Amino acid sequence: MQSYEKAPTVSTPWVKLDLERGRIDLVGDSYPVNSFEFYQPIVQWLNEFLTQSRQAVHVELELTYVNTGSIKSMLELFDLLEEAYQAGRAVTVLWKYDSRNKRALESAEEFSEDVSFPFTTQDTFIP
Amino acid sequence: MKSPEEARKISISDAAVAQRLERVLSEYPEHPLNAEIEWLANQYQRLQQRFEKITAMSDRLQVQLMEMNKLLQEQVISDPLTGLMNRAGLQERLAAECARLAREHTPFGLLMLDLDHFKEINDALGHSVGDQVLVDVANTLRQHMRPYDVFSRWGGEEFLLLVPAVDHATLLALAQRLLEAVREISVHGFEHAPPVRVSIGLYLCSTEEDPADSVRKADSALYLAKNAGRDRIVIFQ
Repeated sequence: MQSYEKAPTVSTPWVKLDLERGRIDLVGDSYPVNSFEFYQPIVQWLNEFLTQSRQAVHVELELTYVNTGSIKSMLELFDLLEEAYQAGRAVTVLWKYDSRNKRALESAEEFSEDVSFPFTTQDTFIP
Repeated sequence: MKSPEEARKISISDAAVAQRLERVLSEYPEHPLNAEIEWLANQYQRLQQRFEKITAMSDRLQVQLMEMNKLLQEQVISDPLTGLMNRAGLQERLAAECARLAREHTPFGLLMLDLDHFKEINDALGHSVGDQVLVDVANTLRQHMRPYDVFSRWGGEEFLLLVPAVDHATLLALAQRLLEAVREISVHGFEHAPPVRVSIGLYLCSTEEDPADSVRKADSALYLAKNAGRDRIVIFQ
């Protein structure tokens, strides 16, 4: 198992999975044609990380557009994180959004509804 | 193992599934597979909830896309300086009006307006003053607009007005009102500023024709108005 990084494309975010720091970063737009294929390695990585290490996990998401398939995969990631949190792991998620998009915060809230680990939001827009 | 009463506490929102489940569990309260059934029922319910959630989020996404589309659509057809429709927007409406004329034989009018000596205002007082004059003219035009009229900034200091369902007398009266209203505009803060005036080419389209041809006719009338000394209306003959 190792760290993993994937450059962004027009339809997929920048992905950084940091093994040493126990940290996941996703930045950009997410509307891959096959979102299952795109997110599967990330889900798998997190799964392995949670099995192999007892380290804390920190996730930072800065996604501007997320399609339905990506929403499904995101919920899958959150399921894994929630399960780990329930089992005593330190888990934190930071959701960065741009307040100029008035619906951005709504979707963050929707994602956080089902989880009990610390889920914070941060406005990235500086007027 | 849970008692049948406890088993009934599994909350399944799908009534048909819930009913069937309840029947099975009460008919065979001691069946060794009941725990498995409960587990499956819970999984089913979870899946159902997840499905509802993803659908709701997806619907919200679509609303967001629609809103952005509308905003973009508005930006594509409007002139940022004056807030009037731009050339692309008017061309679309004109095509629709030409189609309506062919269908219903309703005449429409075109008024091609051009600010007189606008270059002088720009050269003497600067482009920001020139821009303000354009905005003032646009606002003046807007005041004389009926809800179904389409006023556009056609080019630099050129405005094209599309007046649907109109007769010659009404169109001429409107042009006259606009000519006079523009004369009332003054360039603020400049005593010796050139007067704001406008020349108008008028064309009443009453037979089926190509949209571009109708614009050319209004334009040629405008050309005559300019040559005849500006600050006037010329009707296309």
